[in-house]
Amino acid sequence: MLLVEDDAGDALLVEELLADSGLPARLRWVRSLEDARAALREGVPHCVLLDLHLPDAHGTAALDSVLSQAAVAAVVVLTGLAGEQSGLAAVAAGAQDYLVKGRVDAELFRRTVQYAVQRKQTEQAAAALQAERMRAQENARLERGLLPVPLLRADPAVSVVARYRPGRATALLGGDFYDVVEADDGIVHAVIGDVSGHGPDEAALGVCLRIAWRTLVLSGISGQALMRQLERILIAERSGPEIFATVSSIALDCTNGSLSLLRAGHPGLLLHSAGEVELLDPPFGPALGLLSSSGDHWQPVPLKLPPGGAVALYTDGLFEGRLGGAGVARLGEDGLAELAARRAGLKGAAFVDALIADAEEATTTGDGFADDVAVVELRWEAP
Amino acid sequence: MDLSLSTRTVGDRTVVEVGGEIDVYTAPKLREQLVELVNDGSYHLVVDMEGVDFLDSTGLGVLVGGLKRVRAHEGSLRLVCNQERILKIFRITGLTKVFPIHTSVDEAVSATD
Repeated sequence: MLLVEDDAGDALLVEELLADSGLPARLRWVRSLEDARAALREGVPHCVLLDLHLPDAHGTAALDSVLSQAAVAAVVVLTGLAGEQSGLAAVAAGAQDYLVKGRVDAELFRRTVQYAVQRKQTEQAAAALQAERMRAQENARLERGLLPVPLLRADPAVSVVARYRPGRATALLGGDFYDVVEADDGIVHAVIGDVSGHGPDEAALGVCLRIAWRTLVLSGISGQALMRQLERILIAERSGPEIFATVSSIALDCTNGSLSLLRAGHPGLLLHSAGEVELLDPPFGPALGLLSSSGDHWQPVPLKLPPGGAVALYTDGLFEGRLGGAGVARLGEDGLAELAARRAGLKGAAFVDALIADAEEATTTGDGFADDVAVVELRWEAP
Repeated sequence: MDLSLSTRTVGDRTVVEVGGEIDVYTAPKLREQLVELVNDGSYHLVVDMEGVDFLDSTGLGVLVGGLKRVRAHEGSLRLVCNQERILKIFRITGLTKVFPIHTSVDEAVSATD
């Protein structure tokens, strides 16, 4: 318990009240707000007894100062005989209770302090619960933002399968994102990306990049310019200079199956056709937000889909799980390709879901992926 | 699996020896270590990754964060790594252009820009 009281006589009275009250508390006495702030820096007590007339602060200014530094402490204000009003004002401003000097006995003192501390603890628990609820809502909102509905015109010549699984790490969302849109010229674009780190900031940035990508693509920006503009937006919107994002963006021409890939530090992709799956590791540029110099880092790579063929993009959470057993080996992209090859006979959602399930089974002890996982597959339904 | 960290001073460089796995769970520990070193005035760091079994994107972010911190003090962050699977991650993300990567601690410690 911390007593902030400049009058030595009043302080002595409080010491006696505490002794008589039988409360199992140790009292530390300081004479000014400045000393109180120094004491609070060393540690926050359960209760602060605060005189509102200090040499260096008066009234609610003193209270605000203590509350700002000791948000978890119950503050009980001490007022003079004529100070009933200021006591009430202090309670309105955040103090738990007030005591009028000269009208306190040990029993009232005990009850006031005890209840103040208990109320404060209940308040804290309720606040924590509320924060938890807010976080769950925030996660749900971000997850909706991260999981878009593909924007395709009627009767599209492609089938889209998209999956997102949050990682189990503290149930927080990561920064994985994907999107699929069809531009006015009929080219179908898909993107997958991964913002470094995990948490609401990263997830929010993932949503931001997805919308930015969608807007740029619908505005007709493609190739190098698309990645350059995405990087500009990332740098402007990120919460810290160490945040970067890996991105793969593809454009599929549904008249002939030709694919153009832009790859910025992102893992490879799976090409799936005629019962075969192939892991591709095409040329790439750096992840977005890493290099300070902007340049032509991201050369489009031409690829080709056969009729009925599919291309699957994924984030590293899909293949970074640790394999069973005591070793430190991870599944890896080669391991993922092997799993995919075994499921090559499946198509569309059945293929993607089986691949995710296989990867999860191969790499976990039954408690889900550690990292979040996103997969998006485009299949060209040839005319 | 866990992350092990130990630091030692070699001349004007501080060598951080990292062992184990740098992932979403352990990366904060490495971040704290790097922040602490920079706060204590160590601006020329060598991160020895030879004992690292695994590195994910969160770990990459921590290394990039460390680099930005030392650069704010005209410092340097060099990596020691010979493991192909980890070098591949640096290559794909473009970090080989950001970090000087050395084959031994001796080489990193004596390197100058």
